[in-house]
Amino acid sequence: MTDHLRPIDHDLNRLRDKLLMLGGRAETAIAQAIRALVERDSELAEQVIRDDDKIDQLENEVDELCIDILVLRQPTASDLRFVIAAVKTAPAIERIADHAVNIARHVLRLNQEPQLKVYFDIPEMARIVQQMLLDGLDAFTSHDAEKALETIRHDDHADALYKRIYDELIHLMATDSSTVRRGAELLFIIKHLERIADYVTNICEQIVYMARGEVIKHREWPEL
Amino acid sequence: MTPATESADRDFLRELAHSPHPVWQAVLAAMREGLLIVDRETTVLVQNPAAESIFPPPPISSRPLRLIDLTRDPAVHEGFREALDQGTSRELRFELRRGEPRVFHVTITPLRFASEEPQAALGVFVEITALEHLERVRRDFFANLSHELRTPLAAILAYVETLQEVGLEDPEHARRCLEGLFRQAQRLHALVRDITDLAEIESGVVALSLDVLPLHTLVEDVLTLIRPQAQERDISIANEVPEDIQVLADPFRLTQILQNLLDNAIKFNRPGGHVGITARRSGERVLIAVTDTGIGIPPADQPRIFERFYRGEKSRSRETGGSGLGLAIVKHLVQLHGGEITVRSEPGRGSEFTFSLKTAD
Repeated sequence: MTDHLRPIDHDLNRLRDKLLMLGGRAETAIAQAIRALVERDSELAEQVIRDDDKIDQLENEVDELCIDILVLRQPTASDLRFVIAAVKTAPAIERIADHAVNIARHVLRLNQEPQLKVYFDIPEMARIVQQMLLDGLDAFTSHDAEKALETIRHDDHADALYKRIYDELIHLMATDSSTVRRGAELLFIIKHLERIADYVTNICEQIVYMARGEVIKHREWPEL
Repeated sequence: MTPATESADRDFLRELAHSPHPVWQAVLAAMREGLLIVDRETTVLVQNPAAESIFPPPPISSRPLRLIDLTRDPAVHEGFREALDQGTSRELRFELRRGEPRVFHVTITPLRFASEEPQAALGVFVEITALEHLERVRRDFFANLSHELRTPLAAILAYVETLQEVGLEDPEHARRCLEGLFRQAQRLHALVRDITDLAEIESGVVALSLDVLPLHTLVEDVLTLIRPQAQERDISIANEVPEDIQVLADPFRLTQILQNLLDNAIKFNRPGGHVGITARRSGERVLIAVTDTGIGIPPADQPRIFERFYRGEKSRSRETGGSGLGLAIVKHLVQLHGGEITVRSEPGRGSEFTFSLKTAD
């Protein structure tokens, strides 16, 4: 069906497939970790931890494929930018999955204790972060720099929610010492979510580079 | 596979992907199930309109559409990969996370043509969002039901055991136990009655016997039954329904609606509180309101109080008795009359339940 493609296109397609599959696995890991938190499902949390091996393996495959393409196909122009973006994006996605695994570990500990009546806006923060990853990977799929820039903008929402939930959790722990252990676990969880949003921002910066050849790293939002 | 067979397969797939045959196109368009056919390189050969609504193609796509452009779900990819590489079929559950979450049952099967090796795979996506929701409702219903049945049964067993252990020598103690037994048996009886009622109403076997009813008089009849309960709790009740209002309703069912609402208005009131029943015309309808000065309902609980067994937080807890089905029955009965019921409430100040009926004027 794809006979008209250049030899390098087959490799680039495989790379794109693997990278987006890696992204899909990271999306699933976060969704399952958050569901495990909200529904207190320890079995699901353990599955997230177990599935991490597949993600590490897929990251290695992306690395090897990138090296093969660079050495054997010697890409240029937009093909080269795509491979460079892939080299930088794969570790960011793998780190996102690691944060999901860490959330799952906190969930396992939380589930051994009575449920805190309120999780504040943690599910909402998780929803924003998941949407950012979904939009970021969609932007990668369609080489859409505009969408990537729009996704970066949502990082501010995630940061603002992080600060608010952080203050609320500290207040809860200060007023009711019985909540300290559970509150601390939740503090870690929101920190992981906040870091995931940062990694999505990094991925989106790579998408802008890939699509436009423009480096936007370390630039503040109003300049973008 | 010989080159000739491979070539034949490729031709067949190309034909399939681009076939303008009206029957084939009509079949694809008529299917409510999403259908995807992908080749060995996971290039999408066929995507019917239902599948396009599940997986809108990405806005910028300069290459042939691939499966990864449509979904990154690992299970879906594994399913197609297995069908293509091992020739095995697979069924899986797929959750779409874009927008409103939707759930699908997916069947993926290998497609073999001239050669034995699968040259393509077919995925059929059947939406089961509503089915899963119903299943959850059913599970919750039986979980709640068994809980509601167990509570009075446990109390009955406890009273009987006490009577067996202590004996009947102490008449005062025996009397207290029997009163307890009676209360719990009444609770069970009310629960079974409400479940039967709700089941009948929901299954549509309840036929209304509509009549022109003077509302003030009907409310007064209901209050005759309810007043002793209110007096016991020092709660005043006022029938403020104008005497000239007539409604078109089934007298037995309207009595049931008012009894349930008034029962709640008294049960969740404070000592010395007040309950009022008012009515006014609004076009071809009459709006009937039952207000109380009780504990009120938190805003978060208000959308759910008409659900079966939903009781909200502590203050509307099981300790106040009742089956937890009363408002669900009321809602269904009002709807059966072609009306609607709404609630306005402020915690600590009281609630107002308003329902509409057809006027008989």
